[in-house]
Amino acid sequence: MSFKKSDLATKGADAKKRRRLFVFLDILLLVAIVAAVFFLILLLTPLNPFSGNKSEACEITYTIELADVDKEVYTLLQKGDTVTDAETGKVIGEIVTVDQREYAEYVFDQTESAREDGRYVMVKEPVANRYTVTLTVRATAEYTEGEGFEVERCRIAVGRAYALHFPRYAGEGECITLKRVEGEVS
Amino acid sequence: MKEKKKGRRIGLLDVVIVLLVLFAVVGLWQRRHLENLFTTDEVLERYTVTFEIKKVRSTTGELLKKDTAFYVKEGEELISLGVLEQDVAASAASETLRDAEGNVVTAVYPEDKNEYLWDVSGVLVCEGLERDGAFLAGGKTYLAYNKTMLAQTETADLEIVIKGIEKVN
Repeated sequence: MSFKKSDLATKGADAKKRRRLFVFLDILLLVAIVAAVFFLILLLTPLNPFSGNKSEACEITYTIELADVDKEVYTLLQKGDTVTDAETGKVIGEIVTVDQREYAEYVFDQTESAREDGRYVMVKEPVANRYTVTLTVRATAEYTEGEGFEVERCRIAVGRAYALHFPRYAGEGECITLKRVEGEVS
Repeated sequence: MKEKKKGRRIGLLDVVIVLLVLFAVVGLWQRRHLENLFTTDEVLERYTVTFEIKKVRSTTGELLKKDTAFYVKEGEELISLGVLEQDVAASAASETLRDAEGNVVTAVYPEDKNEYLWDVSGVLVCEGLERDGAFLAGGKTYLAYNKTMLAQTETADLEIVIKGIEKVN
């Protein structure tokens, strides 16, 4: 039994058509899978590019207070020094100003002179040879609405404590003010 | 001669692809209905959460204005604790101590050009639910009277103490 040449040609064309259909269906399925996986990622993870939390770069200044330190600290910190977050090792700003005052502690004074309106008033007493150094630090931060400011992924916030490294000094401080350079953060 | 029609063969890859599509669809559906699946009849409702912050700097207290949003960080997720109903109420920070005679007395912290410590209190309006009598802010974060927690606003980190939770009628 033999096939004619034309029969063979028709068979070949059919097989080609079928193959093309399979390829098309496979591509459709793959596209559907990719789309489904993409939507799953959007829904199940915080990696949502369409979420409203957009961030923007801005200049900030913040004040770090180093309390109860030696007199030498003031001389070891200078304008232009880099401020490094000890936890991450990243530079989180540059010193703009350095100020120093006597360190004082609150004490409970029980003398009548320390009373106001029938209540006692705590008294601040300087501690000999101890100082409080305040640093104004300037940095370029990433501001995200609802979240706040980050410098090199380090959150900058009032009331937050930091372990810091400077070129000639290492110590701990607390952020006590935070301002956007254009105006005060509210 | 009548040619025998060849049946379409389904390969392993096709089965895997179809299963993946099915899983993806089920995953999407589950996500949409996840809360209902696991929290039957649990719907977030409005609550007010009263809190206090002791001995906070006045400069920090001044940042806590009406509508300031509070969050708590759990892992990488920021969970909303609600927004301030109004500006926080502030007074000079105080401490309860015993005097020389052993009497319990109150002493307040003075205002000073470098720092003025406040005790502040505020009310957050938030959404949450009660499960087994316990309150969960946003359906996730457990809050209870006297719980001390680290909360944050856009510009400040604060240690707050929960002083009351009430459902808004």
